[in-house]
Amino acid sequence: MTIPVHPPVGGPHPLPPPGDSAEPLSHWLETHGHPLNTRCGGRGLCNGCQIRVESPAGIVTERACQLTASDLPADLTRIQIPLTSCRDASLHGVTVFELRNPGPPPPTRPGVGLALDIGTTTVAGALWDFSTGRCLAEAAVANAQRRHGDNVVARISFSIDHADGLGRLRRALLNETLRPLIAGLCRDAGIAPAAITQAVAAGNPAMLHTLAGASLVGLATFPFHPVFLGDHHLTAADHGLPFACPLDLLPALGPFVGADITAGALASGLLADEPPALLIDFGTNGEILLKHAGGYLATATAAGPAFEGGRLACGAPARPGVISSLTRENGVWSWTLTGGGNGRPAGISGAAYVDFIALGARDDLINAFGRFNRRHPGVITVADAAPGAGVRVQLTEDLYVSEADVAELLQAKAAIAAGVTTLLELASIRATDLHTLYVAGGFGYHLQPANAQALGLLPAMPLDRIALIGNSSLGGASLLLHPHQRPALNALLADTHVIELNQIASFGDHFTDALSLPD
Amino acid sequence: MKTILASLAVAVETGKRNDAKNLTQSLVDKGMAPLDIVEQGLVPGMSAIGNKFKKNEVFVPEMLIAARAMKECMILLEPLLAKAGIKPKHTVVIGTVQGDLHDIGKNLVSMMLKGANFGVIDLGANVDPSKFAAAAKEHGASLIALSALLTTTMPAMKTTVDAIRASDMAKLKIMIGGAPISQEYADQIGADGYSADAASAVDLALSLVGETH
Ligand code: B12
Repeated sequence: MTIPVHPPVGGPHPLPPPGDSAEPLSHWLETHGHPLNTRCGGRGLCNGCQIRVESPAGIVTERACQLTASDLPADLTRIQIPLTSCRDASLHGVTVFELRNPGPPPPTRPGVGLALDIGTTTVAGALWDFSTGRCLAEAAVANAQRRHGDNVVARISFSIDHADGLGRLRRALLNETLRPLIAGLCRDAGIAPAAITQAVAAGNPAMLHTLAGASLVGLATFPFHPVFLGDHHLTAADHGLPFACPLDLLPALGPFVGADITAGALASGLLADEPPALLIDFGTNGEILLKHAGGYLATATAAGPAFEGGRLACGAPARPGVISSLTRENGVWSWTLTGGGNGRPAGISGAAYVDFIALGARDDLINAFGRFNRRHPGVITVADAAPGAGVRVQLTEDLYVSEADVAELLQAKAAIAAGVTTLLELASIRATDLHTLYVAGGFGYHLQPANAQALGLLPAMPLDRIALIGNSSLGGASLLLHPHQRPALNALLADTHVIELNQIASFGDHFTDALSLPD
Repeated sequence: MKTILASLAVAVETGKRNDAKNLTQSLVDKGMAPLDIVEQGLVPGMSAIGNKFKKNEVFVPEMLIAARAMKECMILLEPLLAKAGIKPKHTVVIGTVQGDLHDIGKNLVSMMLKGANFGVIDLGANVDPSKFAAAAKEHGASLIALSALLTTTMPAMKTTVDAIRASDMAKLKIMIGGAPISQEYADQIGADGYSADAASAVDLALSLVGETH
């Protein structure tokens, strides 16, 4: 007896039924090489792991995390896994970064440095040869913790709600993510891990807490009481890391404005810039750092995973084969794929969604609120779809964008845009006064800034003052391998005021305004 | 005045906050009773936008700007209603549970409830579990509404329901909502109802207080 499983790519895969009758099907599929997007941590709160269960009676769509083998019909014909339910194993983070920091080059010395950026979604690393100042290897892998939730708070919930939850998160990060990443970096560099003489990690506090094995309870509810925010040093041996030196965790600015921003501020060059200047890191948490005449204001906007393709019908992170940018000429859409080529597109990246909305609004397919123009020949209506998902623009044979997708994207955009507006307002600065805007993060690196401005995602300002700097967290961690960078960082820590946007009365008003497109 | 009321309803529905405010002021100046302005101007506007939302013709952005326009009008009318001693038929106590500071969704639900003629006592965000029953008692409320946006503050929702059930307001109806909440969760913690959005929240509230819709 086998169960016929049909993944979205490759042929059918007959699997032996689960041995344990209480095992959720999501877990069973994962052990057989089909990890699903259990982004709410298998709590049955989202639709990330939906599968289609087919029998002669018809097709039912169910959450695999809530099903066991005994829930399957006796006359099951097959289980189909939709593309949107696959946890994207081939996810690649951006390892590209620009070091704009103007300081003198570090003095050469013997040794090898490891810089890490521990993101909620991807974990990236770089190895540096101190004797030459050269980067020996860089790589990124998916954070194996993702099966326990697609955002930090879902992970925090997981650590609280499950027996040994923190241990499981920690092992997923250490054993399944960092160790393979470091092994791969060392292989590429042609060195033994024991040759690493210094190691530095940036990341948000929740990630650094799980790495250190520190309780996440203090990060769960307001007021937040993290176990640590400042520098923290881990003995490599205690954490099963394959080198002898300690791993230095960089300091954060606040409970949700992490060391990734501290590091990014350094890599971008913002610290040395003439104020006012702004850094936006487009991750799920959308952190913003504003340099003004009197110091720094920092905040996190909780944009969610939409710009990384999360929760969108055809959304995908920017991996090879996914649409990376869109254009529209004479009513015809055309696209480019990440990594080039002209195969059948496998998904739509966040940056391409931004292009879609900007061009759709320009050509009157979409109004300022994100509603589709039902009279436009480019807009179709499909019966029997989920609320809001029936009104669509079909881009390719398999890929479309629905009104519900645009609503989700506009909500994420509104969180970031309202965050920027609020910080600028608190410092009495107009966007047009900004000398520089640094856009960090994987999604940000692929953006077409003019389209992002048409959406209101980036403030209206001259394009030549906008710099896409890539993974500035990894860049900053790399710089901080060198002690002479430390004073600049200390100054940032001392001069930063962290803003809880919930406590700023005007944020809600800005959020409401930012839900529509700018006029 | 009929045409001004009709224009007011449209201004609220389409979220023209300055128009809505000016029209309300001109009705007040013309001597119209505040309750009539609410019932014949604001309520039709909010129910029109709510119905469009249910039909997927509008989404959250349009709802939020309509609610904002309604809020401007209520700022003018609430003191007049209080002065005239007008007590709404039903009062609801609403708040975001402890540990959670998200309030945009909760504020929208409040405004929709006001737009359906409920009296609304808004306790704000990060509300101590014991405050709900106390406020309900003080204001003679018939319904409590709880919001939570974080999976980590869902447990505080349960604590709050338990606190209400353990108080002398134990029999009050409780409705809950927020992005991570589901009907299943409502059943699990013993809440009387759940709804996914602000438009259906009004129907739920009406049915919980025994008004057929
Ligand atoms: C805006 C926002 C914020 C703002 C909040 C401003 C404010 N004053 O409320 C800011 C930036 C301050 C913020 C902070 C945080 N946020 Co936030 N935030 C959001 C965001 C983008 C939108 C929420 C929103 O207002 N939507 C608009 C309203 C209208 O919708 P709604 O709230 O869902 O309400 C509707 C329904 O749910 C329902 N409803 C709501 N309440 C009720 C009540 C009743 C009784 C009923 C019947 C119905 C009902 O009706 C409403 C209208 O239809 C969401 C992501 C998203 N796309 O949802 C994240 C999100 C909720 N935040 C998140 C996080 C992690 C945080 C932070 C912890 C992190 C941070 N940035 O520092 C902090 C938390 C601080 C705290 N203790 O509360 C996560 C939660 C993840 C999880 N697993 O729980 C989300 C989902 C983003 C993400 N995926 O990462 N956030």
